[in-house]
Amino acid sequence: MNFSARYGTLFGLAAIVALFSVLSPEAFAKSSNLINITQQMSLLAIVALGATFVMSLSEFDLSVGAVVSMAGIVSVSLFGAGWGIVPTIIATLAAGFAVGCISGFLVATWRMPSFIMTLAMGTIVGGITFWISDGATLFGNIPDAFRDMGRGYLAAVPVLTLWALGATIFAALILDYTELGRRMQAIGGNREAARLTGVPIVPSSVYAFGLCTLLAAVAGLLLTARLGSAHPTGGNGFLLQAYAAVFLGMTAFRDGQPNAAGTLLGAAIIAVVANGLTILGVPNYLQDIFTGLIIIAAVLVRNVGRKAQ
Amino acid sequence: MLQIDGLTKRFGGVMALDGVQMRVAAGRVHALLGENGAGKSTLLKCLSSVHRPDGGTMRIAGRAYAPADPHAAEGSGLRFVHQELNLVPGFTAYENAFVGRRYPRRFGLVGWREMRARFAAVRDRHGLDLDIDIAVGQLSTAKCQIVEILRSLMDEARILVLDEPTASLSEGEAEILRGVVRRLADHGCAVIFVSHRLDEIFAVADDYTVLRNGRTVGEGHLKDTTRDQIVALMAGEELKHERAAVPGKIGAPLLELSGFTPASFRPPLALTVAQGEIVGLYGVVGSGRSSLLASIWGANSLARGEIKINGKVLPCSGIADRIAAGVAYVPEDRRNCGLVMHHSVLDNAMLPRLSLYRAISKLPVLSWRAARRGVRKLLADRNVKYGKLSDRVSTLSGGNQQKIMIGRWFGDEAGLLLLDEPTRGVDVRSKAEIHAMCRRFAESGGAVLFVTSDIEELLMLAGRVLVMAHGRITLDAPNDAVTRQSVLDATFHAPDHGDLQKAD
Repeated sequence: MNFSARYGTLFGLAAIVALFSVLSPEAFAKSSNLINITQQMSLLAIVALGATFVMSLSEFDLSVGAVVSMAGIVSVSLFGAGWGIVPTIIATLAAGFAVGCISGFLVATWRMPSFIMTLAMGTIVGGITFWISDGATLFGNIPDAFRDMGRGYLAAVPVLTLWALGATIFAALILDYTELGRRMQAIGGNREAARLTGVPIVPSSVYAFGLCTLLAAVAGLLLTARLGSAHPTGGNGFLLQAYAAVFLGMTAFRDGQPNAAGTLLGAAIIAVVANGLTILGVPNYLQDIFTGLIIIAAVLVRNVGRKAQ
Repeated sequence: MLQIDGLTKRFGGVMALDGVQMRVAAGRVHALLGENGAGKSTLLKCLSSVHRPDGGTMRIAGRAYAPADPHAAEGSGLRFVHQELNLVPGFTAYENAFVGRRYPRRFGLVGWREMRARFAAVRDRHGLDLDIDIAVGQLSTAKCQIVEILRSLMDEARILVLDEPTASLSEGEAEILRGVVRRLADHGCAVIFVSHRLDEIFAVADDYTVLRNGRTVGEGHLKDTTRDQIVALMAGEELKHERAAVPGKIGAPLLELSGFTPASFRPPLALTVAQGEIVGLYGVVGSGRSSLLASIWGANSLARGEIKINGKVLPCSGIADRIAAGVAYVPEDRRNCGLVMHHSVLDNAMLPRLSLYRAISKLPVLSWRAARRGVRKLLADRNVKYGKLSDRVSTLSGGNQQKIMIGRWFGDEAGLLLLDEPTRGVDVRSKAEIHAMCRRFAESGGAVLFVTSDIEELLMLAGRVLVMAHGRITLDAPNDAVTRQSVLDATFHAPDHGDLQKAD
């Protein structure tokens, strides 16, 4: 794999940043705005990193948006019921992890298409979330110490940015430095070859889906901490953007494979474009069109590059 | 019909073709021979327009031939049937035949009746027996190959190129296919036939061209030559074919099957393989040999009966138990069941034994440094040729891929090695190396049980010969007690009445 294929997407991000810096030197290029972007992209990055696990299996988990919403509602409800911070976080993460484990188990054991299976799972989770919340935005009495997890700065770096960096390192370690990660990628590369080589398909899949929704639940908790409230559909918007970030990331660093650093880069591209266009006063619907075009362009560039090899 | 002179093709610094000449006559079957990497595929790709030659000329019926795209190749009367089948499994034979072709129309819609009639006419013209109304997914591999050939013959073909058409077929099926090839030639078609099976070349082909290192090193009529001469031309040195020795001393039983059935409709089997043995399992496709091997590996959840390894009873399915007991399995289909083709050499070589490369022995965390060091040594020991560890495994030759698939399972410890067609589509030199690997393994106290469709390989490698037919073991004898004739006899052993009923 040559240099331009490996780092092309990174240069793409640099070019986009340079372009916005020229167009809006005083607002976009200010260091405070750039730091702000890292905060804006952090939750998307965390959800997308989770999706990277499932994508490395060559599967999809379409329940991630619903799990983000669920985590918010569950945590605020537990706070409302008088739970402490630590038990609430543990219970919420466990719920998130469980959703993925169930999906992973069903997908791996019964060979159900993950696309449909997790769409159903997301619908169920969404229903449960509505049930718990009665469809209302929940405020409850969220402890300040919990809220601090999603706001404020640590040595001039937003806390959320640190969470995203931590999640990236976590995902990179799992994918590249554990036996589980190698097995997940082998299954994604060739399921039958992996099976006949003795790779345990079901446990590996359960973990991949579980880690995916676990990170979605982390994002849901952080979203709630930052907003100080939870909405039953508050996280649903992350779904498509998260997969967009993973796809963009597959064009970077590795030869078309999902990878943690690439996903972070993908989330950054989406966030920079959104931020830059907003500063330039471009309406929302045009931003969506731009984001879509960037994804198409990235995939095209990758395919053309592959053919040239 | 086809005349090639001085053809050259360079890839980077490598001369893939370095002055190839070839004359193919109408009405004759022409064998294109050579080791893997000799330039056969490159030559065929020049013919099919995938590659553009750098120099030399190609002529068809006297007219210069330089195809720009596959349509041009087709327009000149060339047809290609590749080793891998390109059929839609859910389509019938005639639906497949019209994929990529102009459909007959009736009132602007697809004319199904005419489609079927046109395909049936081609089938009957060549006097073939083929059910064209069932999905090709339900046909045997040989029949699928015949569908591929018929598809290529839908319009007038002057030159038919068959790239290892019998590689995945058993002896009986290959025989049928060779009959088809013979008939096509008799109808005036020029057939270029690529195969690694020399017995078959001598059975079906009239003329030959041998390539070595991108050059034509020999051509002529097969009746004027011998197989030893051909092999010598291909290898560049005389290779001796010897029969495998029957081992004098055999150790304790390593694998014991009793009342073991790979699937409910198969008859129960008993089989013992002892330490130090190399056992070859021969049979036609569908005789149950591959499914027996996969069942021993625990990959088949329908298996029933008793299986013991090293004297320990194992559950009928479950791959992890086999690995723990020191068994390894290498499937036949490298691309789909063996390797993750777009992953690196390193990833593929370390996959079965990830825990060898841990950073800390108690934690499932990898050390890439340990992995690279370990895999480099493993590949060097197995004489695997590769560029970089990070190269895709798909960039390696079939022989090197196969050496990785076998070699990645073992260090020095002995165990049971299950190999399904260990040298299919592999060049002569790698084949010899893989055989040597098996022999070393058996000598060090392990045992090898391999499936093959190549009777030559069976007799060269196996100290003990097994033949399966209709799910039964019809022959089990030491190498020095069998002949080609007795092996084939057992292969075409008539099924018992009970077998047929069970097979329903």
